[in-house]
Amino acid sequence: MLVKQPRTTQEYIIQLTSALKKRGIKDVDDILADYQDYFTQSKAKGYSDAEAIRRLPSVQELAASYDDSSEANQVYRSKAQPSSSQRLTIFGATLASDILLLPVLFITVLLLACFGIVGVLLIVTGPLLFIPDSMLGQMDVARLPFLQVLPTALLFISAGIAIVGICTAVCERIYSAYRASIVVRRWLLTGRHDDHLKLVPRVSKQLRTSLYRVTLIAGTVAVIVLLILAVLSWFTEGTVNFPSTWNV
Amino acid sequence: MNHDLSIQMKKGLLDLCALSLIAKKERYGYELAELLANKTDSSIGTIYPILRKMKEAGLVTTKLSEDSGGPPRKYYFITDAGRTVLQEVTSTWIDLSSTVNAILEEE
Repeated sequence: MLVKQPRTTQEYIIQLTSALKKRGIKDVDDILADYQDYFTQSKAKGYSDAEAIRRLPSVQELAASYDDSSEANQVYRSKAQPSSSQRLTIFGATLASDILLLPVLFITVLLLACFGIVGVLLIVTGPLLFIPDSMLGQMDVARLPFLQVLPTALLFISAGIAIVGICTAVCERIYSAYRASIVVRRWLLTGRHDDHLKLVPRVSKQLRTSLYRVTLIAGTVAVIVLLILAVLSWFTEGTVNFPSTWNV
Repeated sequence: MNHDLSIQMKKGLLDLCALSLIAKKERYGYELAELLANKTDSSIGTIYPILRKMKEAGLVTTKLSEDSGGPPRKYYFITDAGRTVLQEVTSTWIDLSSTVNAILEEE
């Protein structure tokens, strides 16, 4: 049966609807919304109905390209859907890795947390050196002139920030790797990829970059201050005796 | 046959091009279709089915966005799976194209 060529966009949409439904294609409304939008945008750009229709394939060709039963359209389907045995194998492997790795991960995160606490203590200690009435104000180093206390305080603070930054960065990598494994498991169970896992939030790239930047700057400052103090101590032993100021 | 061969080659590569464009920046459906159709000299109608298949396969995701003064527009975003596939297919394309070029240049 010869189908009359559509002359208006409305006719095209009506014929496309019929062709899609005949082929048993799902989500017809969603597909039609794309072409409704296409015709609206084409008209806004100055194309006539005939020109907009000419830029599309025939209704039958277009409907065929949506037909999932056609072998030519199977490209992603075969790659994206794992077989049952594949799912079982990979699920078993991830479960085994969980049983072996989780205790190691837990201990690692615990150690990192301890180092992180040391870092926080260093950050807090730095400013306390300037307060004579505080416990740290009684330390030898705090009794030195201001210009000598300042680099020590700066060293404490920058080293503290660097340590906290490194611990946070390592924890973030562990978290991201574990999150990726959850995404894989979700794919195994549902056959779909979902980037918007609300239960397990993703660490944004900006946040990660900022963290690395702050850690790098703090670490660099700490190393520079340490080198300056060590050199000063070496050159001016007796005046700025950096190593012995640590003896409380 | 020449015409069929060219069409078949283009069909396979359109997916890669579409995914690559979406990976660089989230795209509105019509904008993406027109850009691809112009760059690759393909029919604009061939792009929408490709986008739908990529969405069904989880390589891209969509979000409706209300632009001022118009109906909601469907924007396409690449997913983690899409990035993985893009990386693999790009690598395959680079290897394949250099191999094909070498064969064509052989005397």
